[in-house]
Amino acid sequence: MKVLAKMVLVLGLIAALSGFFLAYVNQKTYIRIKENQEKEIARAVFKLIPEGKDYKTSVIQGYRVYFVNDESKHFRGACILTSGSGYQGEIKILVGLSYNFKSIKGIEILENVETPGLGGEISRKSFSSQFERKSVSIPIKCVKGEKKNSNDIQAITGATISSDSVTRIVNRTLKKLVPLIKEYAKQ
Amino acid sequence: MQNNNLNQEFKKGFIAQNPVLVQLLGLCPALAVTTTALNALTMGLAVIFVLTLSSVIVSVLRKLIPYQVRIAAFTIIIATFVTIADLFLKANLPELSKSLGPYVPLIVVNCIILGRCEAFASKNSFVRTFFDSLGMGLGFTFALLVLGSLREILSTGAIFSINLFGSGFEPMLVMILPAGAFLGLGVMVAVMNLIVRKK
Repeated sequence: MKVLAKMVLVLGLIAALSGFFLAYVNQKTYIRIKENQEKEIARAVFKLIPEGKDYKTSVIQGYRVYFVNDESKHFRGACILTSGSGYQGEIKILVGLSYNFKSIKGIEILENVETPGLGGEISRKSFSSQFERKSVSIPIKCVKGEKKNSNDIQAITGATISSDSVTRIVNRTLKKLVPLIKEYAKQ
Repeated sequence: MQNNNLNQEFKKGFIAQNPVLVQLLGLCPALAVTTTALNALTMGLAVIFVLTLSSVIVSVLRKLIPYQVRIAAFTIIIATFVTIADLFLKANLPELSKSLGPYVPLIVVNCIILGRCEAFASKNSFVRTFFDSLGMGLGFTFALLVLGSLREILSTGAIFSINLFGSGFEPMLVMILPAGAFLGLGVMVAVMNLIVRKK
């Protein structure tokens, strides 16, 4: 009985102290962690729409959409935060749209766990810049080798699945969200 | 004599009992995060932090913790420091924290740490424990750093993202893939065996 009481007491005490310390550290770091996430989004938004100065965040159908204005408060474009599955895990993408929602300003891969050196190359400019100025109304096609049509992008050698995944996520997001965003922007 | 002893506790973690290369513990992070030298170094430092602090605390509390619940108690202590390390990295080094992915929280189940708590810290004074765990932590970091550098140099021609060779470098892609980690680790363990046998 004595041993049992000691076991409960010691373990309970250690757990309580641990909880106390973690609460303290969490409180100290919580704001910084939140800020880092916000900063990363902001960096990506202004990279896609360089003339932007500030943005308003709205949630449309569960997607976060950032409406970007320039210095003189003119609307310059919107960015959609989207994600989907890649070859090994989730890929998080920010898709930038032009002010009239007719073409893509660019995409930014925020997070991926694709194979480093192969699928991981999707976050390189050489791949992601291919999405720039593509039309929103025609689905983008991911091809191996030479590009034939205006809405083709070239897959990364040895990483067809990752390249396809990005294209699929972008197409799906555009198809679903662009009409809704147009509606929303009218209001 | 006392000093000599401490020196020995400290040094054994590097070669004679290197946790990765001789004891073959903690291989999961050793294989997974050594894609670049920087990742390997950060992982090593996080492990040193968690290993040293939790071992010392376990050693201080060793007479207080009942034998039956020692593993549970060790795990809570380890998990506390791992969470602190994880939050610290997320707040101050977000880029690195992202590239290490789930492997920082997974230090909780790294068997080097529980192993040292059970095999050493729960039986020795905290001064000896401090030197033992610091040595083990540095030995782990050393092994990871060598493997990480090797893989980064062979797969990208750079170390700590500093380019070593000109543009003519033909990358050896396999080294950045999981297979490369196994190849590199195998070679390192073989070299280590040679060194230990010669002694």
